[in-house]
Formats: sequence, structure tokens, C-alpha cells
Amino acid sequence: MRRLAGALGAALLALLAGGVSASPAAAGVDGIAVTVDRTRVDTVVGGRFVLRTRLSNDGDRATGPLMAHLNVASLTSDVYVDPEDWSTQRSQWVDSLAPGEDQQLTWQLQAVNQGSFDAYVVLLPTEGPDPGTPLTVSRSVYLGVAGRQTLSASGALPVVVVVPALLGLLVVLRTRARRRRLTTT
Amino acid sequence: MSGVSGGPTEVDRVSQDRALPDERATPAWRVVAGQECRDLWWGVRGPLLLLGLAMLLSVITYLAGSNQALNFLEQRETVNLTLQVAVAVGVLLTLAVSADALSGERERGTMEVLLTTPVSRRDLVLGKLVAAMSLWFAAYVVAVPYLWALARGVRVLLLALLLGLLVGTVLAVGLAGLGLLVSAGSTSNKVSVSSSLFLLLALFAPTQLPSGLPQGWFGDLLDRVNPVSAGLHYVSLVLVDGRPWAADLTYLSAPVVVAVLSVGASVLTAPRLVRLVPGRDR
Repeated sequence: MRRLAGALGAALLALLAGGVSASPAAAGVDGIAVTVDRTRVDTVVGGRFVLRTRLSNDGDRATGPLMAHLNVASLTSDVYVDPEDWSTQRSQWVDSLAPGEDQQLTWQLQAVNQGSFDAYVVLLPTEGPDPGTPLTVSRSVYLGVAGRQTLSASGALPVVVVVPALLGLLVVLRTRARRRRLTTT
Repeated sequence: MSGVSGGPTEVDRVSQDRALPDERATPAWRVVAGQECRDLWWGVRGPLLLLGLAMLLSVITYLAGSNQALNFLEQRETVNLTLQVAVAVGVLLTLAVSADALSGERERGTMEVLLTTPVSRRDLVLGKLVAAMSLWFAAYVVAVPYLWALARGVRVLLLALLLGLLVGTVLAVGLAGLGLLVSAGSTSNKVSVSSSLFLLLALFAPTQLPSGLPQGWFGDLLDRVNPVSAGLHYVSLVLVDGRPWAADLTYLSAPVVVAVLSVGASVLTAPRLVRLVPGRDR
């Protein structure tokens, strides 16, 4: 019984949050919506990818100035995320959107950690927002980042050892030759 | 022993006789460059400097292969990092040798002898510049196996080698010229070498700023005016971001301008630069 109630509650929450909606857009206050060009990115550590978001004003009034902010959150407790490492430009500013107008924003990211993450963009009014105003948030983009060992220490070991060894040998030979020359003169 | 205590031995005379026809045919700057290269490479100095570079590149390459924090970098970025270190240290060595070129001769008391030889001062400067450049080319050759080891599998080796050769050579020429100018005007070798190293550090400092920071038009201008940051930025753009060669050639303007101006000034003003005492009219 408790399990059934939990399932019903979760379904209701998902419905309220738009989780079962077919539209990728998430509408907030003032009829502004933020859509993301994809729902999932699978990459490897170090991989670079781009997310494109479109802000559209579906309301009948022009918006004030807005700030779009990108965030990345880890879905597991054992991975710490510093979003600054993932993207160097996490905030972008939009002057205003007239009714029916839209604007595309591009976000460049690099996967820094291995694991499961969600990325999302939140839209904040920068002038005169009433306290407690709900924010417009995009749908989340799932980021699945696999580990990768791009290089192996053993593969580079011959070069790492041989080059200094050869040059060291050259230094020793030159030093001996110099000493011998000085001794003979 | 007679060669030391008395006049030249038979062997010395024969070797001089044999050397003369060759030296007559060879331009004077090449004779100077040859002698300087012999001093640099037949002695211990050149190989020792290269050994230092090789050890540094070995550490970086090993860390890139074994350290998780560095290993997360995309392989192109690892190649880029190693190439930039190789260019930076190669240019540093070139600058250090050229900074010693004139002030070192004065300090060792060999400048007077040098000025009595039938070699023009321009040839002297040009020869020393070429000898300093030999250190850059040797440093480049040392870096090749490391780049090969790191670039396997991503097909950027040729691109990295060409970029390194192009940008590194232009930077090395420019800074070798600057080193000679500093050396000519310095009262002691210590002043010359430390001033040149300070100059190089000042030029390299902006390259260590976080690359993604929004820097505005002034920051972008500084990035393009500084020959070192502009050259290394160009390498990153082509090697990591995959930009076409011709798209950002403007970044090479500052390195080329510095190379032309510093070498031009060194060679053209050589009669005023190569003196027993800097700034004096003799």
C-alpha cells in the first residue's frame, strides 16, 4: 500500500514537473521558455561538446534583461563537480526578448569527471525581479561520461628513458674528451 | 708542449695552411658561426642544456601517461602542452646563449682579440646569431620523439611538428636578436643574462593566465602584441581547436615583426654594438 502511494506520488510529481511532457521546452514566468537541442550526451573524460539552448518569448509582453546560467550537477554523491572546470563561460546575458522573439545561446563544455551528470540552464531576470519569483529552467541534459586512459606510461617509457640516457652519455663523453684534451696540452 | 711554450708547431702550420683556402672561400659569418657552434657543441654546454630539456620533457610525458589529473586531457591538448614546453624552453636556451654572446666575450677578455680578426662586426653578430639558433634546432630535434610518443593515435604529429618548427623558429630568431641587443648594451654578463631571462619571463607570464577568462579588447590586444603569447595561442588554435592554418595568421604578426626588427637592428647597428665597452665609442 505504501509502495503504491509512493508510486502515485512520484507520478504526480513528474506530471507537475513536466517530466512526461512531450515538449522539450520548460516554461516559467512571463511566458519565456528555454529549450535544449538534446536530452543526452555520451562522451569520455576530456571530450568536448556543445549544448545549444533557445530562449523564446511566448508571452505577449517584452521581457526585461535576462541572464542565462549553465549548471552541471553530479547525480552520484561520490563525484564532486566544479562547474567552472566544465565550462569557462557559464553565464550569458540577453538584453530583452520581444513577444514572439527567440534567441539561441551556445554553451561549450568539456567533460572533466567520469560519471553521471545533469546539465541545465536557468534563466534569471536581472532587473526588478520580485522576491520569490519562480525561475525558468530548461529540461536537464543527461551527461554520461566514461573514463578513458588516453596515454599509457608504459607506451611512452622507451622515449622517456632513452632520450635523456643518450644525451647524458653524450655529456659524459664530451666531458671526458675535454679533460683528455686539457691533460694532453 | 712546444706549441704552448713557443711558436706554432709543424702540425699547427699544416692545419693552418689547409684551413686557409676553405676559410677564404667561406663567408666570414659562416666562419664565426662554425667556431661558435664548435664551442657550443664540442664542449659540454650545448649537450648539457639539451639534457636538461630532455629530462623536463620526460617528466611531462611520463606524467601525461600515468597521472590521472593530466590524463583527462584530450590527447591533442597533451601534445599541445608538450610542444609549448619544448618551444618555450628551446627559445629560453636560445635567448640565454645569445645573451652571453657579446657580454660574455667582454667578460672573458676575448672581445679585443675578436675585434682584431679580419671579420666585420656585422658578420660577427650574424655568426653568433646563427650559432644561438643551432640550439633551438637541436632542442626541436630532442622534442620530436616525445611528440611522436604522445601523438600516436590522433594523427597530429606532422601538424605539431610543422607548427613547432614554424612558430618556434620565428620566436627563437626574434628572442635571439633581442638577447644580442641586450648583451651588447649590458655592462656585465650577469646583467645581460638576468635581464634577458626577466624579459622572457615577462613575455611568458600572460600565457599562464586562465585561457577561458573573458578579457575584453585590451586583453586580446595584449595577447596579440606579445610575441610569445601570440605564437603559442596560434599553436593552440590550430592544434587543439582544429582551426585552419590561414584563419588566424594575424597572431603571427607580432612574432614576425619582433624577429625582423630585432635581427635587423642587431645586424644594421652591429658596428655600434660590438665594442669593448658598451656605450663607448671604441
